[in-house]
Amino acid sequence: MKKMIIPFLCLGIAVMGLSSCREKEKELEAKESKLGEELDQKRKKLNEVVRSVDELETEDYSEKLVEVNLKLDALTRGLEFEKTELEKLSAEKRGFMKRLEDYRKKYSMGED
Amino acid sequence: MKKLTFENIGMGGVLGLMSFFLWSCENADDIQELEDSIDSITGSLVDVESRLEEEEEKLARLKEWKEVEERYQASSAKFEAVESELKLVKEKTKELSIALKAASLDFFKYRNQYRSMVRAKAKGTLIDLSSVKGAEYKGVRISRITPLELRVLLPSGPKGVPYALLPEEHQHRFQFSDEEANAYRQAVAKLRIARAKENRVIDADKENEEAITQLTENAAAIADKKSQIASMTRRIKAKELEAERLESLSRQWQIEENNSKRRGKKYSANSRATKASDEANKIRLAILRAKEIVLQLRFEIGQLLKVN
Repeated sequence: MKKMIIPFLCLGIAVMGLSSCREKEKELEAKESKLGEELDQKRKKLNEVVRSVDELETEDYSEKLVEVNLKLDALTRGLEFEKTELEKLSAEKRGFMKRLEDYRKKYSMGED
Repeated sequence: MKKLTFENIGMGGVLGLMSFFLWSCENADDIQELEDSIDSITGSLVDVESRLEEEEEKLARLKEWKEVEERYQASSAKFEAVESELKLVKEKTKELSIALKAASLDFFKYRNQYRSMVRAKAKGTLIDLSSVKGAEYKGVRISRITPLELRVLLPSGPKGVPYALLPEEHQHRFQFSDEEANAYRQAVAKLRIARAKENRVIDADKENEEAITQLTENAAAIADKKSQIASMTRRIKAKELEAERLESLSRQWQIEENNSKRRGKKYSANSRATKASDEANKIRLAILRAKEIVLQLRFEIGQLLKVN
């Protein structure tokens, strides 16, 4: 009977060890699966980003923007100035027309 | 028999134990494989994450560039719109300048027509000049009126009374003015020089008529030149402000560039600064040319007003 104790004890330990191994294996499998999913997601995201990069193909317009804005500023000021000039010329023309009208009223050619 | 059974069970236990060990070893291999696989996945994950980071940075930069490009497109479209509007306004200004010249010419023409008519009608009529200083000319006949004087026929012969000596009432009636008198003197002087060159003889009435025509044109030309000077002066002021603004921007960008260089950063403000400075120089040159034109216009007005 005593001879039986040791093998059964060993058997018990082995069963416990095996059970622990199975647990670790399951844990590792879960981790692998989780990491695999994460990797898939990241790859998917990377593909999306790469596609977005391809779609967004452009160049740096910063310098051109500065240049065009400088010109636009100058042109806008020029336009404002020309509009003011137009108003002034218009006022000057109206002034001459008024002078002529007043002069005609005051010094009509029909009278002496 | 009992002993044999126990021994058999013991052997079975040992065999079972060995089987468990073997199984355990197989499980250990599986675990190793799993760990290797996890390591490989982790490595790939790190690679993918690093590439993703790079691509995301690239995407962020491209998005920024895209925004700049959109702003550039918008600015370009606005530039084109402003350019075409400016073209229209310039055309209108040109048309209005012509209309203004015509309006001023209309006014001066009418004024001179009226003057000529009133003076022509007065020719041969009698006038009382008793209020003229130092003279007693009553009921004298007008022989001719020029922008400078009223010529009358006296028993002693023809006499010219300068308009400045006439009473205000007559000055007003015959529309005498200093401006007209000065222009007339100049016109007559020019005509006399031309006549002398061509060796022509022109009678006084013809001379008067020609001089009056010339001074009408001169008055309109002076008004036009004055208007041009006023407009150009305003333009020069506006352009000077523009040049100052660009020079200030150029200085600011140059400082930014220098500061960035000192900090060891790469900055591209230098080309902007150069562009702004070049534009400012172009404007300064245009201002100089405009100032020369203004001087030329002033000289021309001086020539037109010059009394010989």
